[in-house]
Amino acid sequence: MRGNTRALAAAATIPLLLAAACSTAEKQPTGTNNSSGAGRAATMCPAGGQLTDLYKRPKVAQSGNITAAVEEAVHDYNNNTSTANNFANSLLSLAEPSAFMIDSNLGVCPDGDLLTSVEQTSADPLTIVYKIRPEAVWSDGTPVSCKDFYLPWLAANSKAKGSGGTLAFDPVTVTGYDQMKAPACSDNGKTVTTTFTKPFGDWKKLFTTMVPAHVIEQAAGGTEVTTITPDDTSAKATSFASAYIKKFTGFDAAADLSAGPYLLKSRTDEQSVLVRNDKWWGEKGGPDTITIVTNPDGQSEVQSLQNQEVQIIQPQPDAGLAQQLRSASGVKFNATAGLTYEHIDFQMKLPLFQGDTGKALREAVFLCVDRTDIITKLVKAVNPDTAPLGNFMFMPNEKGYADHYADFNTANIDKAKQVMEGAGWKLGSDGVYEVNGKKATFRLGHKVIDNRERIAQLVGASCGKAGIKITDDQDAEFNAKRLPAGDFDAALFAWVGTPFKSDNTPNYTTDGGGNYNGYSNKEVDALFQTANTATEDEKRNEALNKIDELMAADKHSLPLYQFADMMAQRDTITPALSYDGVFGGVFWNAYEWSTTG
Amino acid sequence: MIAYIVRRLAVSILLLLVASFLCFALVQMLGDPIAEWAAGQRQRNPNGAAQAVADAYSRAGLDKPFLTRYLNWLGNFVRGDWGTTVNPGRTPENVQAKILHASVITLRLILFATVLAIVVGMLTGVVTSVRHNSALDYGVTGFSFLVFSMPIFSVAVLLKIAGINFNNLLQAGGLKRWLVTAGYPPGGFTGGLGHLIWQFTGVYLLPTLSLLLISFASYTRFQRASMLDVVNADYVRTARAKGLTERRVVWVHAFRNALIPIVTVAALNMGSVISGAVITETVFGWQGMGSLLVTYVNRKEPYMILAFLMVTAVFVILANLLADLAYAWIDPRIRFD
Repeated sequence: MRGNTRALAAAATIPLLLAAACSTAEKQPTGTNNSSGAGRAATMCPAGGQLTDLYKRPKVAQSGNITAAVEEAVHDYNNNTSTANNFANSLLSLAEPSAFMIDSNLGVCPDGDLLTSVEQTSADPLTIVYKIRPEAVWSDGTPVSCKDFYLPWLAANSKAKGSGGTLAFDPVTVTGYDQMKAPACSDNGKTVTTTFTKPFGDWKKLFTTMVPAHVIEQAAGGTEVTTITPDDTSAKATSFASAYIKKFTGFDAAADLSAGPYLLKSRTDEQSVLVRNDKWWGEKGGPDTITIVTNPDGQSEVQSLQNQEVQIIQPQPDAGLAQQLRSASGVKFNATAGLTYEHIDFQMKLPLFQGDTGKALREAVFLCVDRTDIITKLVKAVNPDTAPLGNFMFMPNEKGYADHYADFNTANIDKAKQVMEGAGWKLGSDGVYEVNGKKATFRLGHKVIDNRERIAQLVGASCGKAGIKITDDQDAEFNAKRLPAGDFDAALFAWVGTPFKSDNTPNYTTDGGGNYNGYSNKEVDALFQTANTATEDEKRNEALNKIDELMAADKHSLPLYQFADMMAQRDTITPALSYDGVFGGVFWNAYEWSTTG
Repeated sequence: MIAYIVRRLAVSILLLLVASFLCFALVQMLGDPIAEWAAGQRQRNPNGAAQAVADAYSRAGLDKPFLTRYLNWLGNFVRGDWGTTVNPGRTPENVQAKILHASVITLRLILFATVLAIVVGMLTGVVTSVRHNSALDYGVTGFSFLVFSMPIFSVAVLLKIAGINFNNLLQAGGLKRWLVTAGYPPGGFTGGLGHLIWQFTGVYLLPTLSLLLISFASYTRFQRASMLDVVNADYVRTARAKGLTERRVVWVHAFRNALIPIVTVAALNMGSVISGAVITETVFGWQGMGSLLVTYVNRKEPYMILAFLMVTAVFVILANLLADLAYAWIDPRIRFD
């Protein structure tokens, strides 16, 4: 559901992807923790992919101030409530600890600066033991402890009610936490043991961008967080929840502590300032301060980069801006395939798309849509490396990616006609196929966005040659109203991919919340069950690829391409920027930026 | 005079009431600010979505009939409670605080640019009317039509390109970069008086110039035409015949009488200056009323947009009221009864 701005897309999708969405940045060497000097690459998760392969922030030289422009200001410290959750806040991952790091290549690995180890001690019941570094402290000197892990679990599971009967902790997501027993604390609060009531394959997505529990305890009059249980709906629990919401809304220097390399020093709508966290126990490098100015206009961002007012920008993808940035002197430009991808879904409840003739029509549309031509005309100006997407479950740079749609990269009009005629469709005098009184004609619905209008035009022109009439059906309220209601013949919209595959479940399982086109395949439903409970990557990936193969065979949805993530920097900044949609876009590794300017 | 002011104020209030109703109706047509969030809720939280969505509509007051919503909003607005943002995907923001903060930023820009445009426009108009059909007159006329025919955003972007090139020249000469193309300086305005002046002029020059240019053209043309009418009037010929100096004839006798059209244009122009500021602020990355409007229209935030429209309406109506009063000061023959 990508709108016309990255912010809109993030607002609509980030809650789904609390610890999920990030971009497929340029290919970088992985497992390197020793980057320093000019031209160095960003530090990625170690290549091994095992729980013992911890991510450590690199040692880099300390350097001066770096100013970056963003479209929307950071507005709330706690990004874990559904009210506050927004992409704009996600750069605070520089201050808020997460058990697992997600790099810009979708690598997921334990944060070795926060944890000494993470261990799966049992598969049944699934049991995970986190050992927090003894030296890990919040910026007020309080140790990072088990209670900071207990808080997100409580926030997700608490039944305490706020005003109007809503959940008092207002959690952005409960998935995973709702299958977990209360985290057990030991070792003076430095060891956290979590046990799941049923296996949860995506357990690495939990305990992300945590906030200091002791701040809430103080605000709630000294109530220990671990004394509150999910079933506690007393005034004590409600008041604790109220403190949790109020204390972290907006900016409060005393409450917005850091257990990361940077600390939020000030915040206004115009600019926020991050400074190095004096209490950070890891490598103390990177910029002295990171000033983040708000500038919602992409053209204006580009000119402020050219004028050296800012050193880093991440504007919305735009061909004109990309061209300007490529030719600007003293500027390094980068555009990479992002996690947001465009696709066409058929409304499977429509009789036109049902039965043998319906399946033939769907397959013929797969064959007449020229995905390569669409990419060439609409996307390559920003990212020349864009290719047709071949999998709904994995992005091309993820382990497990297999292309199940390679037969549909370019249009094959003759074959499309053969498929239609093979199922009994006859070409009418108007050049459109028909069968049993049904015409091969339908509307392609989408939100009013220039790019989608052009896609609809290209699809209509290409499939018109194959005797299939597709008309453009654009509507400003399409994503908001018609799409969720399933009110379309075919829909053109975008989803955001995720390294945590259980997030895909509602989109493709029978009657799932995001299954707008009424797709149903019992085998797919069962395989999602298998994938979501698998704790071994191999077994999970196998099930997910089987799902994708089944969906490709069913031809209910055609993936088109990944949107680009665009970023640019002054050439005085190293390393080259890469984009991570979970942890603030380009800011995900700001601790290793350095400037010579 | 006082009766006239009271009468005009009463009419203005009535006008504001009608404007408020029309604005409210138009803002409702903008679309549902909660629908997209609700769609996301239904996707990721199928079991609890219905209650959460109903709560969101209730909190926003959008579950009530149109007229009730309008009357509630109007009553609260008049009492100073301008409401909060309603988009459930974001922490509610106080509308009044946001609007007042943004107004200050915009007013600084608009007032400075408007005063400059009026002064420079009038002076140029007077000079070109006195020297009409001269090379200077043709040059100013040509330039006025050029900027008059250019969209504000292109004037702003061109000025920024010129500013960047100018800064490059400064840097090449070993000097510090001066002109700012977006927002305030990182870290804010700091340092001694000299540095503050350096920062303020660097920040304000380009946006002020772009707003000035769009207004300057009309002020110059109207002042020139008005002056040409007046300098050919009998009483001006009489003044000259009495042996008064040309300077006295122009500035004391002709100029004041040629001001009335300019006052009218300035009042009428206020609306377009504000709409110009919307674009200028966006291009220059200022967080004033302009960018506030763009941001909250995209989010379909009803109460923020309504407050913007009402503040703008008050501003424009006040400007017209002041223009009416200025007529009497400029030309005492004008009576208000």
